[in-house]
Amino acid sequence: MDSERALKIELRQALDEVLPPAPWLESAVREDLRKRRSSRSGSRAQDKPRMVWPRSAMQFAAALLVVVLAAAALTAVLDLRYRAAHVAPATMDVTAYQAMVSRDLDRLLSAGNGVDCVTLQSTCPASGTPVLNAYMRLADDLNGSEPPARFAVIIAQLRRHVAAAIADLDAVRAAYATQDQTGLDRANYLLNAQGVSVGTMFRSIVQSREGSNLAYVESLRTANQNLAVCTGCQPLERTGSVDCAAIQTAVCEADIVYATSDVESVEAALVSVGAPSSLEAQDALLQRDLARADSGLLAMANAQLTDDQAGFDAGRQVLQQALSMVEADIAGILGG
Amino acid sequence: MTLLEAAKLGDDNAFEILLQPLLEPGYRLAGGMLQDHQAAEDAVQEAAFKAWRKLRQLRDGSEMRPWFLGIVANECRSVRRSRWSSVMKLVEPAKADSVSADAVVSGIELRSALRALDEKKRLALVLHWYLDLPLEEVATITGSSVHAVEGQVQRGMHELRQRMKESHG
Repeated sequence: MDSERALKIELRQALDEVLPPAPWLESAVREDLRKRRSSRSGSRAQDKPRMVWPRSAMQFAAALLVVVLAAAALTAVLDLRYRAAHVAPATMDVTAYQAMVSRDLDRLLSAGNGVDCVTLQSTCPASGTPVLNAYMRLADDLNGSEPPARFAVIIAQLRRHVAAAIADLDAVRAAYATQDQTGLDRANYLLNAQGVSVGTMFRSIVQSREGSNLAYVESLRTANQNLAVCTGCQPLERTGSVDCAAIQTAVCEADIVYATSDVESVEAALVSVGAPSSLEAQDALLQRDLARADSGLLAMANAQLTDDQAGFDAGRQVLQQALSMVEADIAGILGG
Repeated sequence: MTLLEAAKLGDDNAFEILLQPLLEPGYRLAGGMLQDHQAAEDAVQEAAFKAWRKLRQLRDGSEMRPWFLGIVANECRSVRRSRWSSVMKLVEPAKADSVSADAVVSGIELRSALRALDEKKRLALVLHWYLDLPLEEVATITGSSVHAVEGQVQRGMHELRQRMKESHG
């Protein structure tokens, strides 16, 4: 019984550590309730008789919504490209850039988690917007400023992941509109994976510092431990692998997510502990090859979303080539 | 007329009065399940709104606390399903300087062991151990029998110990 009590006390302490008091919660809940009640004209929606639309009208409305969302996504992507190409970006020093990125991360986290879009019974359209806005704002910030050289490669990757996240958000909404739970699950899974990628990269930038030769090598060695045995990479590299015989399967999606995580851990490690001048050239090559591997994986994830086998195969080819170069790059640094 | 009756008839102030003492346990339950304070706040906020919408479904004579905590538990399930919880966990709260490194490591291992438990055992342990709720109320919240909850707590505790032993080598 004593050991049970001790474990109970330990568990409480462990949970208390991640759960600070939230004295503002009561007022936040009250405020939120008032807002949402007023948007529902002060009455409980489920008690009202529901207006039933004819099936054909529902299908037309859903199709229309998909078209509108696709147009919005296209506009957003074109806008991102236009801005990237035409706005003269401001140069920022490392500290200012880290501060900007840190603010963007906070904004993204406080935008909510879009959980309402998980099931078809939820109220998806209203809650997805803050997350989309946060990603759009993030894209604006990234495109509106020139990153310090140390972050150039990872920022280029970050932009790709942000664009993918925006596309995934649109896919979530489209699947919701067409009442496609499988599509909704897939889009949410990929969206979440993009969120993890964005978070990993952001965090590495915020934490970035210049490292000594020893610190850099140790950081790379630690991050490489997972990549060296990357279980997700192996089936993805093999063209005849069973895992991705069909690309829209959970096992194939999981392989990509795990492989991406292992590749990005190394990318993040190189940014968190910057290379000393003696290793700058090798670091640049490794960052470039890791970014290519990451782009290959991203292409495969995007292809999964649309069931595009050719796009998936192209991504796989990039990944295969890049990973063998990454391996050689790392061996050159760690062995040297 | 009771507060609950008034709330069911549409008195929003009555509902808020009833809800107020339930927010803290709701937050602790969501925090225990999700291990992320921001996600826990979101879950409680969402659960409060759902409780307001569904209040008329609460049977006369039923207790509001287990009913509301049941809604919070469901909300946690949705958050975990969405896997956004992993995104939300990017920023670890700063640890107090006074906490020893061993305690920090032990806390991390214990939280990790708790996360690895299946949902029923985790929920039973959080409700019974972290919120200190009696087994009868845990059974009402989880929709199980007292006997089943007791078993979940025992098995959950056993698994936690095992995992802690494994992580210590």
